Amino acid sequence: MIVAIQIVAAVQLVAIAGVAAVLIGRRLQAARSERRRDALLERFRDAVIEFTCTEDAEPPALLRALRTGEEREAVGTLLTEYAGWVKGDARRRLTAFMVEHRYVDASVAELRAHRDWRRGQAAKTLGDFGSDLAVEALLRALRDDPSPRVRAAAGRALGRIGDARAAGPVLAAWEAGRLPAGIAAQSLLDVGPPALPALVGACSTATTGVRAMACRAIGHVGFGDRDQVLDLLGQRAIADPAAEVRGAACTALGQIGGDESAFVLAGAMGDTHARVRQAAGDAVARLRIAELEPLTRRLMDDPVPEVARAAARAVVVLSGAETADGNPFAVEAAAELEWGWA
Amino acid sequence: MELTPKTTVLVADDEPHLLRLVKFRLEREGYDVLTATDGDAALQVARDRRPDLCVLDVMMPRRSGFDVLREVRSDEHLQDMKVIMLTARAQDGDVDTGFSLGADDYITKPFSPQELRVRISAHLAKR
Amino acid sequence: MGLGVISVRGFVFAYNAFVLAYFAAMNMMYVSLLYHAARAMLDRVRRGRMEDVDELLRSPLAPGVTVIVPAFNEQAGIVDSVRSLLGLRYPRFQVVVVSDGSTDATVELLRQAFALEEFPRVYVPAIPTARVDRILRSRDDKRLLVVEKANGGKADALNCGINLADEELVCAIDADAILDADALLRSCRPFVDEPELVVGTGGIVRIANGCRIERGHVAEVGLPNSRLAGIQVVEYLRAFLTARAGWSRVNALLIVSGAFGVFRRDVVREIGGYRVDTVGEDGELVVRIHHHMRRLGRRYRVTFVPDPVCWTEAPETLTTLRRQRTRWHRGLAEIVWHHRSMLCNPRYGRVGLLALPTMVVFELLGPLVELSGIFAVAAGWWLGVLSVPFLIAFAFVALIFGLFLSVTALALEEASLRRYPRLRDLGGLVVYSVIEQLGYRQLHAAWRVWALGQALHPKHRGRWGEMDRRGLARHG
Repeated sequence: MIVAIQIVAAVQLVAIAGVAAVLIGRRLQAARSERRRDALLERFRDAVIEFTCTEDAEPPALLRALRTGEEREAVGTLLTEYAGWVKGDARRRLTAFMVEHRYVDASVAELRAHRDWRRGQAAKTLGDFGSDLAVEALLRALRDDPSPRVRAAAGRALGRIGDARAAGPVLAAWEAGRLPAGIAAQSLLDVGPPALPALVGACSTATTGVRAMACRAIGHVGFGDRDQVLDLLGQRAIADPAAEVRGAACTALGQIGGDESAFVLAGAMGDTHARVRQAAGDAVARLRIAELEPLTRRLMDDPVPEVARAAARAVVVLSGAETADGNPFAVEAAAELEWGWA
Repeated sequence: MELTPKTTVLVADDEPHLLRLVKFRLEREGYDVLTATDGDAALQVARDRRPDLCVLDVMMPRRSGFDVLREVRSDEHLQDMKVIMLTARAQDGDVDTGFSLGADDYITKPFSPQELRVRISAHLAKR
Repeated sequence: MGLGVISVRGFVFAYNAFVLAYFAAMNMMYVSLLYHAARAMLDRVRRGRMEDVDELLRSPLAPGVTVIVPAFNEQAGIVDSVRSLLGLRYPRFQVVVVSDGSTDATVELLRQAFALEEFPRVYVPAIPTARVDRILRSRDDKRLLVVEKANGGKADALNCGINLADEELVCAIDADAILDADALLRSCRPFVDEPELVVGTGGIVRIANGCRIERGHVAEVGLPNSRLAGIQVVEYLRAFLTARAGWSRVNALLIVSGAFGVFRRDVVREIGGYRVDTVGEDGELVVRIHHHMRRLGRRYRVTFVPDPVCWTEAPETLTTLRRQRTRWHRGLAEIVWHHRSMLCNPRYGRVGLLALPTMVVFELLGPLVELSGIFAVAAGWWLGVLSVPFLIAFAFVALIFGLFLSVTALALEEASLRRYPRLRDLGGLVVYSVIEQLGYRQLHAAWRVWALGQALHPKHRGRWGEMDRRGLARHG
């Protein structure tokens, strides 16, 4: 028994020495390769910058005559970096270059790599490139990849490319629980108005979280067919069984609605859940619906402070600070208005 | 094309590689470009060199872009400086904050280098 | 008489065997934790290549955060801290500084720096707190709120901040801690990805001693000159990179550091906020969240974010360190006492059956076994019941294993984060790992045994809370 322990201890000592040696060795090696990489990036950076900000530019000769794989990789890194910061013409120029020089193809091929992190990295890179040639491959990854991380990366990338084809499949993956809510919603948000039908569809799925997040996202996307969207949100705001969804719908109405939402918001102000009443109050303040002032004024006495605060803000915005008449939340809201923050 | 005397532009962003892009673009327009990578440095440079225009990132270490803007607007020597906010912040409240603090323009990242150039020259022409 | 000697010898031998077995069990536990931690850290490296930290920055879906800074006489650094906080990279947050009855110029300095003015904010104490005197708001930056309240201790100050929080997440941070610019971006990400599941996150806390700090911002990472602080660097690395990463992976993370944690506001309010009658309010909150959620059978997650988010000043003298560590250990004892109903209770799943018992057996009582083990070995050697090979084996299992854990933690750090840029620092950390095992570790055990005694002593029991009410000041 004691011998066994001594053996264990000896093995451990060796292990410690080994780990320490590997640590130092790796560090030295990493430092060297990092220096190399930095030097490479530095060599090409100016050319990439020039290419990025020169309108109607031909790619600089330096970028077209890459010899080694390392050089190619360095340029790819730089192109990706700058493509992420710019939009419009400049981005299109970079993307076209990456397509022409087969960077996109290479990453698409990487989507079938054995290691999940390589697939995920490829998906992310394709999102950074922003070429719609990668959409089909990313959709496949979103649908079939066994790794949740890779699917998430593909979902994000599809959003960043912003192609309308992504909307349906992203929604499907979201509903099936194969894509986390935040990522799916962000992706649809990035796609923008073309994703609206999908978001509208998401508003009537079985999962509470999906419905709520979809309502939130609609508020940020804005509207395509205004009447239809407002109608849908109004329905959610009043009739959805989950308070979370009703609240999110009210918030979205506050962002894109108008006077026609008055009826719905009036109903929501009587909701049993505080978060819905609060969201309704916020919406009234944003939309400045004068006809709801009396109802909102009553909400200032709500037992839940967040609701009373939202209502008071709305009342002050609608009728001015002087109508505060002593309600402490109204006094607070009046001060906010006076300080210029309403 | 050469502007005489040279117009000075200060660019402040905590991302050095992006800073280089903006600097390159503006130098080619013939501006004299100063840079800073944090809010404190930006304020320091602004006070020392009194540039004609400043491109400010909002989220910077040590001192936020809003903070710098506020200091700039309360400094009598810098009141005339044009300020363009260039930032990734997505919340619409931010745009309000920027303008209420006295920003002249607000551009969000990702941005178009061409648009940035056009807006800068428009603001400089307004002086 | 003869029988007495034999039974004493027998007892000493048996006790030595027990301690040996205890160490063996403890080591096995750490190895399995290490396994999970290594997987988690590896995962982080890979995920880093698939994700973009800045993505959240551009997203309108990013949840709002209220950063709460309890401050008691923090005039030395408060303005820099607040300025640095307001410059964090995050799209939507507010900062609430709660002056807990400060008697120095904390509030005055803030007032001058940020143009604070009294603001008629309605204060509704959803969680009861000490009296709130004044609420100030910055004219310049609407994200900054400063509260002046009567002294009530750190937990009370935090509760006051939670009552005032407007955003859906709350983040508690020490006034003297320094946040990484990306701290919120990284620690809020789990809330976005899984909004229905995640209720709390905590990240890696690092030691700021030896780093170059410029106006509330870590400019350069380095190792401290003080040997005592250097040892603590190793300790922190081990605690965060192995223990927390490991426990988080099996969804039984019990401790999120008080220096930095993000929680869902509604959950914190639901459980009544921080407990004011304990010295370990930060750890207690997380255990209570587990307790509450599991009792109600809700699905939830408390996640460890394997990124350095927060830097804190470590004590550099033995006296302050002793005070800190006895306080921590007493806090641990209190947590276990308050939540004893979860202990070995299958209803509480992994937390009740695994994490909490481990905490009791190896963390709480560990120092007792360790210290008594030293005496038992000495007695055994003196009585001649232990052979030399046994002694050697014993020392190896006890000490070498500790060293092994430290070095592996360094390896994890090196493989994943690599925040210490100089090779010299890495070598220094290995040396500190050795020093830690020889002397520091035993001293630390003695302090913790002392703390255990204090916790059990009836004189202290009723006054746990009051004794450390001024705990905040000591950091400054």
